Amino acid sequence: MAGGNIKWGSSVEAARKEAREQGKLILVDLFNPG
Amino acid sequence: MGAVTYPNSDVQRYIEQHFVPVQFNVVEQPEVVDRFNSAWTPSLIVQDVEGREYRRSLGYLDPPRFLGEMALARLLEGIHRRDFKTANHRAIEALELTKGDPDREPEALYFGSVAAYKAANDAEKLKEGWNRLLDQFPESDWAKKAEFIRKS
Repeated sequence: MAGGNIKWGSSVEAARKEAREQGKLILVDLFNPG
Repeated sequence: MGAVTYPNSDVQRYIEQHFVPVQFNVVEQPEVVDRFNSAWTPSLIVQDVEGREYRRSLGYLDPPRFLGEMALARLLEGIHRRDFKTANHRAIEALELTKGDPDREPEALYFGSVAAYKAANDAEKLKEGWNRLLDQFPESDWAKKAEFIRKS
């Protein structure tokens, strides 16, 4: 994963569930490793 | 982003506090280009749990600009959710995190003034904030959007 110690998820659906529970927003990062 | 911005401790802390991060490699998962309607990377998109989008940024952002973008996303989410007390609180943070950024500080001033106005139900708050914007960033696009306040 490109992103230091950040715990990136790979599912928006799972992120929504977690965000709902924690009162957070979702950050989506589209990246190209090249 | 992965080399400089995401390893930054302030960036990591801010994401941890306020966001659930999701990352997609567009080479391995090309379908995400259509899913998120974005053909350029890096693309940063801030959504709520219903999938409503509040902010989109294309291209590399260094840590200060990234933090400003995220703070503006949180401010706008509060405004659009009509939670103006929260938005007003987030505006203070957005102003701190965009300070010195000529592209984002004027926007933080613009929407921070909106939040203050709506939170207090006092149009003077809008006038005060937008006049400050007009004084500090007269050539900014956000000042042009606010300049009618001096004619009203």
